[in-house]
Amino acid sequence: MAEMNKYNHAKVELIPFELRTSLHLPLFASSVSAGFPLPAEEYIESILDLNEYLVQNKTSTFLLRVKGDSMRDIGIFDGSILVVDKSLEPMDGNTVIAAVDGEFLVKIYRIQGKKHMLVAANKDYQPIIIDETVTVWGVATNCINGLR
Amino acid sequence: MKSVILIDCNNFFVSCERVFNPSLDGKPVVVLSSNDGCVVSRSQEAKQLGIPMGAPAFQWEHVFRKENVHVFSSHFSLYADMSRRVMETVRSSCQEFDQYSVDEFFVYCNDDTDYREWCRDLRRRIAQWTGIPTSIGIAPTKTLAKIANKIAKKNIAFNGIVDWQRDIHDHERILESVDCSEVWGIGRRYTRYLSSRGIHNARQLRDADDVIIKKNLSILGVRICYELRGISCIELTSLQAQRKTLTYSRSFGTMLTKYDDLSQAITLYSSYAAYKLRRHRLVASAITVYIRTNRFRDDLPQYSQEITVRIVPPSHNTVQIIECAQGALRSIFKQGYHYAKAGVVFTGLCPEEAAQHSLFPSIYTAPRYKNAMKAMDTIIARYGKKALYPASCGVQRQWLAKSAQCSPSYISSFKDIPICYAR
Repeated sequence: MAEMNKYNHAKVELIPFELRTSLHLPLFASSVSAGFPLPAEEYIESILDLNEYLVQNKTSTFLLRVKGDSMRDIGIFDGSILVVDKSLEPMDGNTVIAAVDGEFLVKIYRIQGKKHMLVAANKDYQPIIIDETVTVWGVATNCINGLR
Repeated sequence: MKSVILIDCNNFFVSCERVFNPSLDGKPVVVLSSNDGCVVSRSQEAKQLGIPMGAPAFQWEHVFRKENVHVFSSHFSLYADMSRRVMETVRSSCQEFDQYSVDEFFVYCNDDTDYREWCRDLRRRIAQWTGIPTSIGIAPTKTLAKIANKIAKKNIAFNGIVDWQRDIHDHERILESVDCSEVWGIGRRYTRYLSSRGIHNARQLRDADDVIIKKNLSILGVRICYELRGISCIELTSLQAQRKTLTYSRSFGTMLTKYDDLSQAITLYSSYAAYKLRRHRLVASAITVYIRTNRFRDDLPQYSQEITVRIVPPSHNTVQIIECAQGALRSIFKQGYHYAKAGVVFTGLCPEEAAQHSLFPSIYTAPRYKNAMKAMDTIIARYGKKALYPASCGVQRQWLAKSAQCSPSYISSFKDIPICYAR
């Protein structure tokens, strides 16, 4: 529940991950309120929206943080944030999150004939065969690496 | 004949916790009400340990420790968001549905063809998209769909879906095995009355005399009987009797002198009263707060005062109402008096649908607040209002060496998002 801060106003909690559609309004006043036609107005296109770019299915998309660097060869580093979509069926070569022994692991999904397995980007790590003890939690669609 | 499909999440709060913490799978897990008072959700493993629903936490502490039960405080914002996701998944499959509570959805069909395949797909989709397991009951009426759903939950042989017409062959026996108190809409008072007339189970209720039922259980009771007979007649948004005011007031056990104590009482009364509003599907446009001393103690100075503040926009949201009530109390409280009674009165009541299209959108109408209210109401409906109230009502005594923790803010705070290991 929203907590009360010392002024007894309810604190608004951090907004959960959600897709907010862009407003499609230019940053400057429209010609109607300004009272005269703005020359560039007819060329204004929609605004770039990172939410829309990163998230196809907001109902089934979650964010996870990576610890460890077995996947650095494909650009996923310690501290990276993964955008994970639970609604996607894993395909050969996809980066997936799997629940193994009570933990989330990030692995590459491989299909070889009838066998489905999880491998790391780095060949030093042992592959994990998919059986009843392993669940694929979701498919990672994007990776966010801060550079500073 | 039409059919009703009831989709119900299994052990919803525990299931939400498990989505983000796979180490909880297969383990006994319980979620406690917000004041850590009692158990409001249990995993299958916790049920098998004999932990009952509503178990007072302090009484079961030793069992939790001995059996390594994972104990969590209610994490409402998490459950509210997961409820939204389940709802959106249902919506992706069908246009017309009613969200009845934080974890229950009714879908209505205009015929009675076999919808089990559609339900199987929906159940799979909800499990895949959100990680939440569900049970589904299909029946000609809502009341029977609830019974079918319960059977789906209890008997794993049905793989989570029970069609009252097609999967159940002995309706009489099933209805006999359902206690009146378990029938949707029959509470303690009605159960007691029915029992006194020899009506103990759903089959007897179904076959009961309409006139007797109408006389003592009102039209609501009759509707339940008709629904048990397969005749659909309960509308979720049926008109309530038009209330003009809604009050919650109590005299105090001992007289209160401190502002903080009165503040706690007003917060408690406000949250109970707000719950009543929601149950009647009403919103209030004004709240009156009053406090007064004991009239019969003429040895003590007398003071009584009330004030009415507007609730804009009209609301039944606990958080918003508590804010208004606290502000009102602050302006009438006077130091130096022994207060004997306080109360809150809601006025300007109107149906909640009327308030949805307010000209003044407020943060409190955001879906996550509505879903948080639904989560609270589910707990209050099942365990009584004492199970739950906001933190500002006062801190409970610390009975656990380590208090039950709320899980991390997995979906609302970047520092708490789940970890996946690259190794």
